[in-house]
Amino acid sequence: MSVVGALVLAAVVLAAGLVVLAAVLRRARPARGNAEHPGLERSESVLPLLREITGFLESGGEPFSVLQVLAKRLCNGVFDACIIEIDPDRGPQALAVIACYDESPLPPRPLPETVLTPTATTVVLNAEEVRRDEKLSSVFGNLGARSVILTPAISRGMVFGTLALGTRAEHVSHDLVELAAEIGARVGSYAHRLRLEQEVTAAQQVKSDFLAVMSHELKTPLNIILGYADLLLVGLPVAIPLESRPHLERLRSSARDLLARLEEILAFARMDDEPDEPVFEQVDVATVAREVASSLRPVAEQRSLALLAEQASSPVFVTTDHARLAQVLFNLVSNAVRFTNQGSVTIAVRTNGFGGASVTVADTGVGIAAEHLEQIYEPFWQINRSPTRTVGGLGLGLAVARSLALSIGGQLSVTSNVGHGTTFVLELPARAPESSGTRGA
Amino acid sequence: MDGKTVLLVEDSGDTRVIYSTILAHNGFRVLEAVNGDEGIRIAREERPDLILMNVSIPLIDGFKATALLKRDPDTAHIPVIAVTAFTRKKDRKRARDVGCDSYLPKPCDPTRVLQEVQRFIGVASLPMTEMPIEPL
Repeated sequence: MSVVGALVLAAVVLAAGLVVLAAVLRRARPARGNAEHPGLERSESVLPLLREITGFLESGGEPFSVLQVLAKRLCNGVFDACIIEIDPDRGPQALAVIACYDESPLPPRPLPETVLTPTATTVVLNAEEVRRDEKLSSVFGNLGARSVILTPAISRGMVFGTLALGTRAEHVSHDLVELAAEIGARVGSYAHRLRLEQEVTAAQQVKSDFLAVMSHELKTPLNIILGYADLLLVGLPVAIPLESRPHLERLRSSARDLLARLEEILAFARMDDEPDEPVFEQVDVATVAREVASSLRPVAEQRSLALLAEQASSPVFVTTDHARLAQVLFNLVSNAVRFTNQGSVTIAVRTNGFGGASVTVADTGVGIAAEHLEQIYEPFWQINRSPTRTVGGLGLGLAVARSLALSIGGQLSVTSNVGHGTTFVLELPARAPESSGTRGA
Repeated sequence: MDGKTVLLVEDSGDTRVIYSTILAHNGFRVLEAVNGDEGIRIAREERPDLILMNVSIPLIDGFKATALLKRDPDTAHIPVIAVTAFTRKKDRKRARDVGCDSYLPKPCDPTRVLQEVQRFIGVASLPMTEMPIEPL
């Protein structure tokens, strides 16, 4: 054999040896998936993974923990490294999470600042591009990431953050990129939901503060108007001429109307709020009905109406919240009085067949047409909305009454005859259900 | 002193005029304070028979002022009626917790204020003035 031949042979042997060595080395590290579909242990197991991911995102935990759990899972059998940056509240504080690299025993750690360049579409960065990105490579650097898939956390076209999913694999399959994009979409939905929840909470707080302030600011001047009117009518500081009385009485009456409207609005606006803790106790419904009747009798008498509370022969007890029951009855009777021009309004209380109580408020008023019977509970709905209508009010009483009735386990129903009158029936259970503390819709 | 004294703690000038007019007309001697600090000072100095305390007053609010007065052995015995627009159950609970003896929701007719004052300290012993009164 010639020297050249021997050298060629040696080179071939050496090359073969190196190939074998490389193969051995590669096989020594358990191959993740296969060369065609790097990153997926089983190429058909995408759906269970997505279900798992949805499970984490719906778990209701604190957002940072949720994203940590997700990152850990993504680094366990799917990708080799993961960064999740979410900014649900558009603030400077981004929720950034990095997963330690695959199979690391350490939990994902937070990053001190944002690392990823936001993107609107899913892009794949190859190893060279990763090396060129200073921030990315500082995080992914010692991983030797071959490729990084950057995908937006996107929902309804709005971008809430970015995910960087790194892999050591040679190639990134189309399926893997699709999976990354899908994960980005799910995380986007999650971030979107977080933002909406924050906005709702903020809005409710604003409303609550507004109500508290309005309540005080509007009632104070009204208090003063009514106060002076009362004093003048009592002859303080001096007796007033008889001719002046009617004007003053109108003034006072109008101020009282205004106060009633204000109370109506505030009660309606408070409907969605955290209600006062209901107090469930034994309440004699007949007594509540009588009290409501006495408080509205002056108004009824002014309209020349009889307001009758049918005397039950014995008390009718149920376990319920006294204040809410009184408010429901007050609203029903107040409406009845307002919409009746002649005749009477009658409140009757009976035990119903189930150990509970039924309260009937019947009037001889204008009645409600059959086609309106569903609408009457709608906020602001009134039979006649023209400015020249004679009946005052804002049309909120029934909305509030129904909401309160539901909250004490009650049911409201109505029958009516146009031109003859209307009858409302409130059915109450023997015991208001504990869980119905919150007001119904 | 024969007459009964009511301390009215209220920052609104009109409201002070309204309540003190009806109280004075019914024989009470009325002292006025426009904020919590002044209310506490006058209560300690004058020892009124009753305090009508508006809750939303400047410097120290009505509830804090009440709590302070109830802790002070010199003024703890004086009944305090809270007057306020905040009428939720938690507000009423707060009123009870700080030691208020009663609670009047705003708006409040002068006659109701008078009745509540009389409920606590009775009819004043000073003679009523002779003005003709028309019933409300």
